[in-house]
Amino acid sequence: MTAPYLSLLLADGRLPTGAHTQSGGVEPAFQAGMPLAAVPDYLTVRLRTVTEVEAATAVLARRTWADGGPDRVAALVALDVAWRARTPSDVLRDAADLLGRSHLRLAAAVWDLAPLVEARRLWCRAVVVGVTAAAAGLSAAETARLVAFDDVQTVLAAALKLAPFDPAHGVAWAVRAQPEVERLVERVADLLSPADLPAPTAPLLEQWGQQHRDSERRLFRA
Amino acid sequence: MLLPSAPVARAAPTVVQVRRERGRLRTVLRGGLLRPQRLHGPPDRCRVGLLASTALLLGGDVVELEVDVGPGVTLDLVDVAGTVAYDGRGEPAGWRVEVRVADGGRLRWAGEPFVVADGADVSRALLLDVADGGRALLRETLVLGRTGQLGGRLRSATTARRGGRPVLVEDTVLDPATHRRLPGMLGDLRVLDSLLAVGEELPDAPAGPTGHRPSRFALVEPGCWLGRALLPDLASSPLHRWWAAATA
Repeated sequence: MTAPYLSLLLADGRLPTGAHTQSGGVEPAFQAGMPLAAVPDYLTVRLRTVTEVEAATAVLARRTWADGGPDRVAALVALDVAWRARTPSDVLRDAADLLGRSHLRLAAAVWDLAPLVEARRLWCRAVVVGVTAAAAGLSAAETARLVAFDDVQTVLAAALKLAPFDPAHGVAWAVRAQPEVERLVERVADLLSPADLPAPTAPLLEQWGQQHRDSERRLFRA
Repeated sequence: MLLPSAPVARAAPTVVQVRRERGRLRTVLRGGLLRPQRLHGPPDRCRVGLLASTALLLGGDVVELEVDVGPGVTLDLVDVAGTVAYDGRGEPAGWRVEVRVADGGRLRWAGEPFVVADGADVSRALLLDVADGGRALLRETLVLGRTGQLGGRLRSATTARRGGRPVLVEDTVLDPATHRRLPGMLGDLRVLDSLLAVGEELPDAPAGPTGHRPSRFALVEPGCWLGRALLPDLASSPLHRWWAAATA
């Protein structure tokens, strides 16, 4: 049973995937006037919308890869496109592509992901994470939890840099987000078909993310 | 969720079909809860107005509309008035629209505001299928609550495809009892004013009367755009100007 160990490894913020350039949208949220105290609510919104889509995509990518069918790359392309249709902001899609590329470079050096690399296209991060999870032997629930955990930690780590506060508060917020994370895991872990990919949207998140590109003062890409 | 206490009476769908036969525009209009009516317009296109045939939208009502734009036809669809979804007293209401635009077809639909009053529980669904050589420009204005209200429950699902490929898939759940008012969803805003352009160029967004600048999203398919303003009220919307610029 290596999955629990590899699950921790993949969730570690020290994993060199370039994720430190991302704020999970919390930088544009602060710039739009969101107070620091609203961060837990902000996490709830993400876990019920964009992060659910991200986790669901990763779960389906994991299943597609693990099933090992001959058309699995074509199926992953369709899934990648389905994710893109659910992400209207081109800025957020670009950010996910950047992360997907660096994550794939890393994961392909550790596991055999040749078909994904040889497809020579941009993969969104969720597809790459899902395939990596399959290669590492993670379950669907572990995959979804990995995505959700990563999102929570990305937001909290960025918030800490942007609006310095007692880091213990951030950890307490991460603990408080746990039931919401588990509800997300329950919603997406059993998904079987890309046709079931949910599409819950968060209108302000998309708008803030889009406008962030034009922001003059920013630490994070998105 | 509350279930309807009695089977929901459902009218036949409203149908608007336009095609060109031997150089002439031929329209098939069939009334349901909405009544389509041919309007005067320039000879190169078809203008159809949509009128409510009864007090809409009450609990239990399900409005269904099918729009079919044939090859080489331009259809301007006009809502004659906005729609208010009233307090359904526990009964949900539905609003389903299916649109097909063929190669060389063009649809412009300047939707009027759809207001979700307190106590309403509405599911909206839009399915838009545009052929590779077709074009569509739609405005959708969702208003949560009448003046002074918080607004009821709205679920708005949009699926837009071009040549069968997904362009935009959105399922917006706006429930004041859950996370609608949290940061990142809508906060205290009440209006989502959107332009969806498939195969149509959407020019840069103009600023609204109060300086609000909406977002312009380049969707995954080239030549497809989503323009959206999120607002405290409809009066500050820049989308009248944007629509005018997009259709100039």
